[in-house]
Amino acid sequence: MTEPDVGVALGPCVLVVDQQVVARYADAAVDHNPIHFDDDAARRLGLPGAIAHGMISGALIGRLLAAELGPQWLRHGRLHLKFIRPVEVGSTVVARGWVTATDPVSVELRAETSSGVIAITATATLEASDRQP
Amino acid sequence: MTRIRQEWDRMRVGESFGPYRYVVRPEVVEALRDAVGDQELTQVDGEAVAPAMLLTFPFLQLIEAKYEPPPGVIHAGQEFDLCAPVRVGAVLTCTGTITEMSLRRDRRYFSVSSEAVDERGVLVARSRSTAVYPEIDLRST
Repeated sequence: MTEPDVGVALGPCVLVVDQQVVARYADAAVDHNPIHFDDDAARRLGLPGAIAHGMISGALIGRLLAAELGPQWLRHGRLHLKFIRPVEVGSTVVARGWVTATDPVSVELRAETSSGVIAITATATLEASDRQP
Repeated sequence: MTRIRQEWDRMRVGESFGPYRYVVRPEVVEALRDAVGDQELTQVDGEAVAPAMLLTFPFLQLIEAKYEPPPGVIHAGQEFDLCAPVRVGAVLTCTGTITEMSLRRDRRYFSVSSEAVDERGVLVARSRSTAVYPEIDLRST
């Protein structure tokens, strides 16, 4: 990434979080929590129905940061994800970011559904001394 | 006392997890990339690497190796300090500690701080995961 300017928008990255995505992620993570597959189990916990793993949306934010910040992201990135609302299976999730500072590079991000439900808010930082020349 | 409450009461701030050995298998990396459509940074310095968010997997399994968490645990927060790319084929040794247990608005939260070191002795990442412990035991009918 070249030197970012404050206000520059990052993304969007878009993912349709359907049952196939949830199943594929669950197999990779070895996380078969019934709240991701069983509407009744999820409703017993007060959820609207089966929800996607929160880190599917988190991984979408990770994908966006890797694309925008490059290899230095993997060496010196800091990421703080806050899960705000669950994402129902079948939703389309869009991840976006905005550069808020350059020294160090800081990015505010969010992942939200196409219907406007904010799933995650996040802050990412890349220390200035770690930037590529 | 319910089983789920007994399990919660067994946990302690300061309790440690691991070491837990996790091999970054190429098929798992591919499954994650496929699931979330991530083909970014597949190679760094000539080595195949995984998306950094794959680290959630060993950090979760680190806890599960000690406790089988009740179904219904919900992820509430996740922090990463990334220190090195996650190489495909790397053997990670993960350790962690419960750093917080709290009751907020009638919900039980716990946080685990963890780190992963690869077989070369390189610190790959530090992490802090926060989750909500279920109040209802989905295992009971």
